[in-house]
Amino acid sequence: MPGIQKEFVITNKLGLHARASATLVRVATQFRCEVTLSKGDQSVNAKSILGMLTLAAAKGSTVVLGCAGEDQEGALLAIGKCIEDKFGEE
Amino acid sequence: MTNRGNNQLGRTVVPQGTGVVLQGIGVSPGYAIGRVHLLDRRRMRVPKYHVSPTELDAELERFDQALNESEAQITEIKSRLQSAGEEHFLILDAHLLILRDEMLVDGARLIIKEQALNAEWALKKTVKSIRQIFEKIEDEYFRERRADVDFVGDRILRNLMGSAQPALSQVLPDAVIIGHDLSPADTAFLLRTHVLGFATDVGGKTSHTAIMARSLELPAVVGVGQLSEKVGTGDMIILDGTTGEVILSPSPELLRLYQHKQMAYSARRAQLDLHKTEPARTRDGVTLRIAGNIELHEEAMILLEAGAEGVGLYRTEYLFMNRETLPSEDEQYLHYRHVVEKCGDRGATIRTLDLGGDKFLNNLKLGRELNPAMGLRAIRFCLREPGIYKAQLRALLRASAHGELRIMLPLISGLSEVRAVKVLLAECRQELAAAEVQMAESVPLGIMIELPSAAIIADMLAREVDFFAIGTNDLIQYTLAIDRANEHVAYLYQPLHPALLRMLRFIVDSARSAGIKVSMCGEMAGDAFFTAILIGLGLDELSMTAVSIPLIKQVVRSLDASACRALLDEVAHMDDAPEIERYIAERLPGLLGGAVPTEVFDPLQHIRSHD
Repeated sequence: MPGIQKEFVITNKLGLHARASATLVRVATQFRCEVTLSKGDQSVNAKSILGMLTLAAAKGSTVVLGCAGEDQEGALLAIGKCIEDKFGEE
Repeated sequence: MTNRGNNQLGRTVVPQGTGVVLQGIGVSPGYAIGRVHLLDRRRMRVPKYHVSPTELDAELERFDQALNESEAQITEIKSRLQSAGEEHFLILDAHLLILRDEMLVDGARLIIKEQALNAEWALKKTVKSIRQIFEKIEDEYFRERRADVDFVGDRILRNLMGSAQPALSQVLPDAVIIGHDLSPADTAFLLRTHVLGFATDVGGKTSHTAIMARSLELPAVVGVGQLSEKVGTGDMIILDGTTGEVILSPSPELLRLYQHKQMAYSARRAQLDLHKTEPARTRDGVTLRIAGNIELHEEAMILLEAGAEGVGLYRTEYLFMNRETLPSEDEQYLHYRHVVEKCGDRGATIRTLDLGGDKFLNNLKLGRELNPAMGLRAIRFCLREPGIYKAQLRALLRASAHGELRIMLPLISGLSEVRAVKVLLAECRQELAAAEVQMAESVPLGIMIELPSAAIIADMLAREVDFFAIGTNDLIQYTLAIDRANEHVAYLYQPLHPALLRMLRFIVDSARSAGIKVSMCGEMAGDAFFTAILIGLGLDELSMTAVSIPLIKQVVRSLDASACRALLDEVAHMDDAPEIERYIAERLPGLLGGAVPTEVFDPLQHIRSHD
């Protein structure tokens, strides 16, 4: 599937820790499209909290968000905003 | 010394045949006497069998049912927890997501379908394979999330097996909670019930249970081996959170004995707390500054409330750990400023980055060292990375505008390191002055005396710095060449080894001659057994964890400094560390004159713990 992608830097203090991952998963699961998050050569399903945690993305990590499916634009926008807003944390 | 015998105060000699005594690590002081509530996961033997093709759908249905039940239980705990602390609430939120995660659910379903295994077995295999993924992660925080997978897995398993044990919601008031380990969800729930204490099979001083127990001020013992296999719900049990003893099925006499101890202990602790903000002045008028050790800026408040007269050691390295980018100068400045402002004129001594050895930074790709304790760490690392170090020094200088700040350097081996730091500090000052940034006119610069080389040339170092802080943990380790974590040589960890006593004397005398202050911030400083010797040596300040402060202050107030000096002179002639300890243990009750109740500090206990 073609899909769309965008690069982000994780800037919240604790990185994609349990709470931030949970927030992201909850946003991602609202969309029907496939959502992946990649760091380096590792790519995980962003609707899976275990997948997100195994990514071990600490503060400062560069990640690529990929969305593929009918509502991909909305998903990329919403999840991207969630990362940029530091998941509502410091 | 808690690192050695795990126990230090008030052990009772238990008569034979009156109960089973198990030894663990006391991590939160006090006594708990009550009935066991067993939270057992490990004892469940997971059934393993194959499912016939016709029963596969029913097996999948059974698995779904267990997931639904688990979800309902976690949701229920969560709803009761609204006010009990956001952190626990969020952990449970993550557990709910893990419970429905494709890696777990689809993984187990696939094994049931394709390998025709029962749901318990399939779940166990899935959890194990997820654990293996987590175990390969380098970052400690993320690696430890495997525990969350375990906790969720255990809950599903318990529901699959029809759970013979009562759930947490059925905990009776005044229960003593026993488990192999307690999950964050377990402890979070316990916050809302009235329990007397905790004991677990595994864990150490810094495990989740230990930290939680200390913050709740509930007695707790961890690392009790197979405790959870030896007790059942409803059994009588006694926990001694100070000595780490756990007594199963105590006799009526023993129960009465411990009830008395418990009452006396509570009364005495309350008395100590009454005086925690009063100064630590000996009977003959020598005052010691009692300060506290912190690792996070948020802890400053807790310390001051416990009676600390400022921060004696702020370990800044925690600001650098578990992250991929270095903390910026601004971020560091905000943390340091917070601590300095909280302390006000009581002062805060901030130690510069002490990384390496057992601590490491994710983003700095340092090569693996064969012998990290003697490798590129602390000041050595900082001087090799002046860019990183100067950012910290600038942040400290900026924070100095907001209160009494002192800079302390770790792992100094000789004068060249001190001089090199002074050059960097001068550069930082110039840079900040050029940018018209506010800072204190002069910031005292001190060093840790924790290497034998520094101790031996303390007279030379004293002329170059504004204060000394003796780090006993490292000084003992490097002087006696023993690794405390190595059980085969741990018996050699002797803080009162004649070699160390000589060194300590020389360090303090050198500071005295040069007219600078000398403090101690290792574990020895917070251990009441050593207080008399430390007063005898003439230390100006002791810095310790918050919980030790009320007791140490009371011990200081009960002693006479001249008698402490005489005691030091007497033991200075002895040539054997155990003999010195025995002598001090025998002399202390007399020196304290009954002013420190044995319920909170029993010098003889210190000796017994080696037997």
